[in-house]
Order: sequence, then structure tokens, then C-alpha cells
Amino acid sequence: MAEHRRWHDGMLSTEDWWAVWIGLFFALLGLLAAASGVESTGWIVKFSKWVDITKSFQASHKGLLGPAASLIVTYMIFTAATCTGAKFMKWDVKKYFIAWSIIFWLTVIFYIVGQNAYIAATSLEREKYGIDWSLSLGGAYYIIALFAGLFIGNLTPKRFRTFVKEAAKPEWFIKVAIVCLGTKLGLKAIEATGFAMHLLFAGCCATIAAYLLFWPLAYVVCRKVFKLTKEWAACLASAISICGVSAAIATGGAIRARPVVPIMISSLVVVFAVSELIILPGLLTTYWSHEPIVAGASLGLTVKTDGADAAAGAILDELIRAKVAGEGIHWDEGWILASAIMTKIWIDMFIGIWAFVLAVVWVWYIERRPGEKVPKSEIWFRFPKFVLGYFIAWFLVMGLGLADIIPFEGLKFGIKPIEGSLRKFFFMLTFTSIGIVTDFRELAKEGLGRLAAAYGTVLLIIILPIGLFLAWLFHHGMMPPTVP
Amino acid sequence: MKDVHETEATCEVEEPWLPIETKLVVGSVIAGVLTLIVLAILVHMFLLGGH
Repeated sequence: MAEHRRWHDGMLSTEDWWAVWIGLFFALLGLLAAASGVESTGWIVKFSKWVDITKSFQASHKGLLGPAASLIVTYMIFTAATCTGAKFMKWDVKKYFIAWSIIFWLTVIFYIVGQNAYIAATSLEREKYGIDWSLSLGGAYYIIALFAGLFIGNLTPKRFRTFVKEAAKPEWFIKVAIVCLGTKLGLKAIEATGFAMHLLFAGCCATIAAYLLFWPLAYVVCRKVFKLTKEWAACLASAISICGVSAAIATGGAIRARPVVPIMISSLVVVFAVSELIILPGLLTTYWSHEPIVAGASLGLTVKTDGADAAAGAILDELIRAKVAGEGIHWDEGWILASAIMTKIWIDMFIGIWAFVLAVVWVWYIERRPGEKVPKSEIWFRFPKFVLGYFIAWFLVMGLGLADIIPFEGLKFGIKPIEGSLRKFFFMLTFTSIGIVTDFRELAKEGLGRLAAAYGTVLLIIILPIGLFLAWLFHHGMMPPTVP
Repeated sequence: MKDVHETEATCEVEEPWLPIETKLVVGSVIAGVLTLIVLAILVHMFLLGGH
């Protein structure tokens, strides 16, 4: 428990906090550019659709640097930022640096391939690129990165894939991206404050209802149908109802489960989340493109890792917008993704409280340890800190814009490279990394069969239907703002 | 102390369902349904009505 911990412990030694520092560092660079006009963010490389490969990437602020220089500067600065984090987290920096470099450059290749106009251009863009046909797969670069990562993580020589895993940190990369996403929401909220607030509150309501329904139902199925013990059932129920790996770990700590329990369940979470990431965006686009915010929010409630949720949200955002663009509707980019992130963030925020509740229930009712106290500080230690970064970035940008301290045009100038080019690149790093760390052999391990069956069953009969219903109940009729 | 590597063995051990588990599960589901109804009404009155 938390008796010997201070509130600031972990600020320089955990992935969660380092996502905040790196994300806010870039957000502040954006604000510096916005306030002063100094080119502190325009160097970030931006990838675009192409038919001529020499036009596949360039600096975010065109003309500031040549494409190659922009790519190299981006590599150097991102490397410096993440290696600093790695150093403070006491990782093997030399190994991290080499593995990171491999992942970075592979991701660049996947990004360029996925942006080929024959793959990515919508039917309305074909004329612009001078092509007769295209697959209109807007988010294909994410899928390419994911499958290439899966190939590396499962089919390359063991020595290589083990080495590359040194820098495959999907949860870290996505948390950096989510902090940067806060700046995007801040920018958008200046134009549509009411809608952003509605999304925030609707997401909160859906999450509270989901917590109270998902967990007990999942627990009953695990205990009654699959005959799991209390510690397995509690950790699995938390993992599948709340937020996957961190929930399983938090619950394991709260109920004092053996370390192997959350670890085994975490491997299931990752494998199932990847499967959902591949399947759900396409399904939702096919059947729910007329309710884009509902579709986005449903991902937040049903995909159980931050990385896979944000990744699925990004694909969904691209797919749905590409689909309705063919019907002449042009929704603003990022709102569908924001709805996926928003519900997930609420889920993440409540995890500390839920772990606290479970700890109390276990101590007082299940295991009856009379006299034992659960410190309230446990809530703080379980709280996902990157969420703070997300809200700081959001409210900082929105506040400075709404108070007219920095003009909107200035904010766009400074923040766009952060919320666009940088965020998307960290999304791409997340996809590559998710693939690399997902080991399908885990499922074949002895003892995981029944857990996998329990997880899959609960996902299909409880989480997906209730999640979709709650998303619809709290978000139906909400439409993203349109662009001219 | 249980063995950290003990997985299948402990998975297969049956633990009896306790009456307190029934109380907690039923309590949580009732709280969930009531919360759902109240929040859904509030959201429909104050948020979704505007869209």
C-alpha cells in the first residue's frame, strides 16, 4: 500500500509522468511559437498523401527546412526527448537508443507507404493527385504499422524481436500523443466550446454507468460460468471493464493478488485489444457512420488499452470522414477521435477511485482483515497522471485563446505542428509498438485457455453490447462540427 | 505463500461463492441501473436536447 510513499514519488521515474513532461514540453514549444512567432515547432516532419514520393513528407511549416532536414531534426529531437525519459527511468539507454532508432525509421517507412495516394486518397481527392482509382483507406498507415509490428513481434528471429522490444513502449507513446491531443481539443474548443463541454460531460456520465454495470456482471460470469477464483475474477473483471493493463495491475495491488495474476491477464488484454482495433473501426464505419460520436465513444468504452483505443479512434475518424465525404458531408477532423479518447480518459481517471473501493471491499468484506486501513492517498497513486497533462494542455490552449491573450491565428501557427504532425507520428509509433509487443504465442501458454475464453465471452456478451448501448444513450444525435 | 508461477493450478481450484459477493454484485448492479436512469434523464434534458 502507500504508507511509505510521498505524493511526488515517481514524477521522474515513471512512464506516466514522463508522458506528461514530454507532452507538455512540446505543448509549451507550441505556445512559445504562438505567442512570439518564433519557429519552435515548424521543423516537425509532416507526412502527406503522395504520388510523387519526393512529396511524401516535408516540414510542418513549409519552406522552413527541406524535407530531409526536417526528418533528421525531428528524429534528433524526438530521440533526445525520449532518451532523456529513458535515462531518468533507469532503462538501458544504449539499448533503448538503438531499438528506438530502428522503430523510428521503420515507422517512417510505414507512414510513407500508407500515405500513397492509391491507398489513402478518397474518391474526391483522386483528381487532385491525377489518379483514376484509389482504395480510400484513410487510416491505412496505422494498419500497415500495426501489421508490420505484429510481423516483427511474432515472426522475426527471437533475438531481434526481444531487442526491439526495449523501445517498443505503446502505452508511453500514446500517452505523449494524448497530452498533445489536449492542445488540439483546446484549439477546437475555442471554435466550439459548447460541443467540447457536452462531449466531456456525456463521456463522464457514460463512464460512471459503465463502471457500475460492467464490473459486477463481468465478475459474476467469471466466477459462476468459468469458475475462476476471486483473485482471478476480480483482476479479469477490472481489466475488461475498466482500462485493461493498468486496471488489472491496480486491482491486483488493491486485493493483494499474486503478481502472476495481473501479468497473465495483461497479456490477454493486449491481444484482445489488438483484435478489437482491427475489427471495430471497420464495423462501426459500416453500420454507425450516421452516429459518428456514438461510434467514437463506444470505442472508448469497449477497447481496453489507451493505445489501442486511441489508435482505433484515429482509424475510425479517418474511415467515417472519408465515407461521408463521398456524400458531400465534411466533418471536422479529430472529433470522432476525441469522443473515443474522452470516454477512455474518464475511465482512466476513475481507476484510482475504483482500486480504492475494491481495496476497501476486499479488506472489510471479502478477506476480513480487521483493523487494516486503506489510505486515501491510494487514489492519487493509482490516478493516471498523463490525464493531468491532457487537461493542462487543453485548458491552457483554450484559456489563452478564449481570453484573447494569444490570437487564434497565432495559436494555430504554433500548435498545429504539435497537435497534427507530432501527435500523429506518436500515434504511428504506438501502432508499430503495439504490434511488436503483442505476442500471440501467449494465448497458447498453458493456463491461459480458460482465461481467454472468459475474457472473450465477457467481451462479447457484456462489454460490447452494453458499451454500444451506453455510447448511444449518452451521445446519440451529437454530430461533429463541419468544415467548409 | 503461494507460488508466483502457480497459474493453472489456482485457476482450477474452485472457491465457493460467498453471500457477501451476492450482496456486493447486486448492490453494484442496482446502483448502476439507478445511476444510468438518472444520468440518462439529465443528459437528455440538458445536453442532447441541444443537438
